[in-house]
Amino acid sequence: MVWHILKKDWKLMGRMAAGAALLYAMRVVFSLRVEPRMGRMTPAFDLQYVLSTLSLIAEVLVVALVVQKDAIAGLRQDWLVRPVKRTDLLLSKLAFVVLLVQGPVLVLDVVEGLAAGIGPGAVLAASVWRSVWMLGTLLLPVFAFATLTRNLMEAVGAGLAVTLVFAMFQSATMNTGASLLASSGIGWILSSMQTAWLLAGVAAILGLQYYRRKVAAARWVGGLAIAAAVAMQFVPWQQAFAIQAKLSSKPSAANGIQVRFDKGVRNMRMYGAEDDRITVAIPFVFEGVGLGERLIEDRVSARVIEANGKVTSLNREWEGRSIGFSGNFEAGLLMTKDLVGRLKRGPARLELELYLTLAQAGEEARMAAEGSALIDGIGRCAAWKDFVASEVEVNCRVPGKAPCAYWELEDTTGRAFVRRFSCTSDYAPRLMGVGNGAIRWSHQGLPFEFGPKIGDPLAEAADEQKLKGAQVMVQVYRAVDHFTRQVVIPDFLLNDAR
Amino acid sequence: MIRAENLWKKFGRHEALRGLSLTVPEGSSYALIGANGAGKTTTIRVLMNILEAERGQATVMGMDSRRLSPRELAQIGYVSENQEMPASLRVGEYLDYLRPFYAGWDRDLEGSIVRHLGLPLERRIGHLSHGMRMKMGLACALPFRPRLLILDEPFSGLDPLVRDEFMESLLPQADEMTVLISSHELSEIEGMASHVAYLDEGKLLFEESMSDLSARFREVHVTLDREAAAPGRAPAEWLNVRASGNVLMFVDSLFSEERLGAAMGSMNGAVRNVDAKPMGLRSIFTALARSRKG
Repeated sequence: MVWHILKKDWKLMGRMAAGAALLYAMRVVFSLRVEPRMGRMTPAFDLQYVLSTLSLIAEVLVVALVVQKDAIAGLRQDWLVRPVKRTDLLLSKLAFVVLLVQGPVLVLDVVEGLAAGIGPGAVLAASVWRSVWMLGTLLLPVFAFATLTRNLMEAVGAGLAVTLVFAMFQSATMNTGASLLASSGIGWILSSMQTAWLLAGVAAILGLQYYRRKVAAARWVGGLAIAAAVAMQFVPWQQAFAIQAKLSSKPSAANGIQVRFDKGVRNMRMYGAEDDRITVAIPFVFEGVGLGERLIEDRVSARVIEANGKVTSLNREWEGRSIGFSGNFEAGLLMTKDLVGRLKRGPARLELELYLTLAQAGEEARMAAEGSALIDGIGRCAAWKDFVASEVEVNCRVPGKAPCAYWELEDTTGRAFVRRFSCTSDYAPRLMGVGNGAIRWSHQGLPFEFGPKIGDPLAEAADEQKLKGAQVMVQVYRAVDHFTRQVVIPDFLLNDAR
Repeated sequence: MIRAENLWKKFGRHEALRGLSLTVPEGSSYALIGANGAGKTTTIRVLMNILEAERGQATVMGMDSRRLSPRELAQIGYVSENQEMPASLRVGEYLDYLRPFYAGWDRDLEGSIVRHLGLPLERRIGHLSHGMRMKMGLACALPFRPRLLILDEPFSGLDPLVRDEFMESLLPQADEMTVLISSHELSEIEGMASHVAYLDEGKLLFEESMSDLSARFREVHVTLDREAAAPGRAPAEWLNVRASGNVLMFVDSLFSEERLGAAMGSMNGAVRNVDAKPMGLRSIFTALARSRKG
C-alpha cells in the first residue's frame, strides 16, 4: 500500500513538488549561465541564490503539507478510521520526501555538475552527499516537526517560535566559548553531533507519532531534542579537538614540529584598542615544518597567572589563520586595559595552548592565466586577466567544499611573481561542504601590480610581457594532522611592548 | 459488539467522560443521545481509538479499542460530521483510493449507493456541500459491508430530503450490521434504533432497548375535581411535575398501570380522569433534559 498512498499524495501534492523542483531547476540553469569570467557579481550569480532559497522554502512547505495530508495530530483525519497500516503510511510519506522532493534535486545537482564539465564520480558523490545531508539536517526534522502539528498554520507558527527562541539563544551566546567551536574548522564535529542527535529525536518522534499517536509526548521529545542540540554548542573545545586529532589521516606527521616564544623575532605589539580591550601580539617561531607543509592555527587559549595568584583567561582575536612559510607567527591575545597595565608593572606567568593543524601539499597543477582546466581535488576552474582590478581571477566550480590551496602566478620562465595561500580552515570531510547546490563556486584572486596604481603590498610588479603566457599553478593542501603544543612564558612582561 | 467500562477522559479541566460504561449488543442499532457536550462524540472517538481514555477500557469486536488494527478497522464503517477528507481529490478518486484497503469492498454496492445518493464522481470533495460530504462519508463506509457502522451526528445540518436519502441508503444494510449512532435528530433515530443510551455530562444515565424505553415513559395528565398543585414530595420517577388549573401534569419514567393506579388512589378520591400517553423519543429526551436542568 506504500505506492498506493504515494500515488494519492502525488495527486494531491504533485504540482507543489514539481513547483519546488522547477525552482531548483531554474537555479541550476542560472548557475550554469554564470560566466566564470564575469566573476561573482553578476545577476545570474545572485539570482541562483535567490532561487535556491525559494526552492528550499518550497521543499519545506511540500514536506510539511504532505505529512499533514494524513496528519497525526488532530482528531478529524479520515485515515484514522481506515485500515491503513501505520508503517505503510510512514514509508509512503518518507518515499514522497526522498523520491519526489529531494530526488529531483539530486538529479539536477548531477546534471549541473556534469554540464559544468566536472567528472561524474566527483559529481555523483557530492550530489548524493548533499541530498543525504539535506534530508538529515532539514527535511526529516521538518517531517517530524510537521507530525506534531495539525495544519500548516500551526506548523509555520510553531516553526517561527522555535526559530525565534533559537535566534535569541544564539544572540545571547554569541560572544561566549560556544560560538568559537561552531565557527571553527572543527565546527563540523559539533554539527555532526547535533545532526545525529536531531535524527535520534526524529526517529523517536516518528515512532511515537506513527505507532502510538502520542502527540503530547512527541512534542516533549521534539522540544528536548532541539534544546539538547542547542546545548551541544557548549561541548568543550578540547574534547572536540581531541576527536579531530583522532581522525587525523597522518597522526604522527607533526611530531617533529616545535614552537617557542621568541621575543627576539620582533617586539610584542599592542593594537586595536576596542572598548576596554587591547590586542597584544605574542611572537612565536615554529620549527620542523617541512617543504610542502603548512601550519594552520585553529585556536590559542591562554591564561595569565599574576604574582598574587590571580588567574585571567584570555580570548584570541580570531581563529583559523594560516601560519606563514617562514614559521613566524603572532598570536593576538585580547586583554583588558587593566591587565595590560598590571603586566607593564610586573611580570606574570603566561600559559598558552596552541591548537594546530598540519596540511601537506598535493601535486602541482597548472593552467593558462586565461584558460580553463579540470583540476584534480578542486574542480572545473577558469582563469582570466582582469586589468581593471589588476589581478588574475580564478573561479572554480567545486563539488563539495573548496580545499585549502596554494596559488602562484608564474611567468613564462616558471618564476612565480604572485603567491597566495587560501584556506577556510574547515576540516569537515570534503563532501560535507553543503552550499546552495552540490557544486559550489570558489574564487581566488591573484593580484599583480600593473601600471600606475596604488599597489597591494603582496603583489609584485607585472608588465605585459610577464602576463603574456603567464600560468596559474595550484597545489591542493590537505590537513593530515591535528595537534596541540603548550608554551609557557614564566616571566611575561609588557614593559617594552609598543 | 462494543463494551466500555468506566471510561474517563479530560480535556484540560473539563471532564468529558466520567466513568462511562455501556454495552452495544451485536446486531443492534444503538443510539447515543444526550445534550451538546454530554460526551457522545468523545465516547465514539475513544471507541475508534482516535482518542485515548485516561482510565477505563473499551473493547470493540472483542479487541481492546487502543489496539484496533487494520484488520478490525476493515470491518468498521465510520461517518462523522467532523470527518476531514482530502479536499482536492475528486469523489471518484477518493473511492478509488479507499477500495484497495478493504478486502470485502463490493463495487456493485458502491455503484448503487453512489447512484442512489446522487454523488458527482467528478466533483472535488472540497467543492461538495455539507450534505453531499455526509453522503460521501456514507458512500465510503458502506460498500465493504461493515460489521459495525458508527455514525457520529450524521444528520447534523442536513435538510429533510438529504436525511431521507441518507437513511434510505443506510436502511437496506442496517439488518446486516451493528449500528452505533449519536444524534440530536431523535425522530430519525426513533425509526431505526433498537437500543438507546442517554448520556449526560460524561455519564451514562441509562441504556435500554427502545421497546423497554417506550414502555416505561408516559406523559401523564391527571384531571382533579379541584385546583391542582404540584405535590411537595412527588415520586422520584415523576419528572417535570407541574400543575395548570385542575390538571396535574408529569412524565412518568417508570410507568406501570398498577403503580400509577396506586399513586392516584392515594390522592383521596380527587382524581376525575387519568390520561397516560406513550411518548416519542424526542419527548422523552426533552423531559429528561429538562428534569436534569431543573
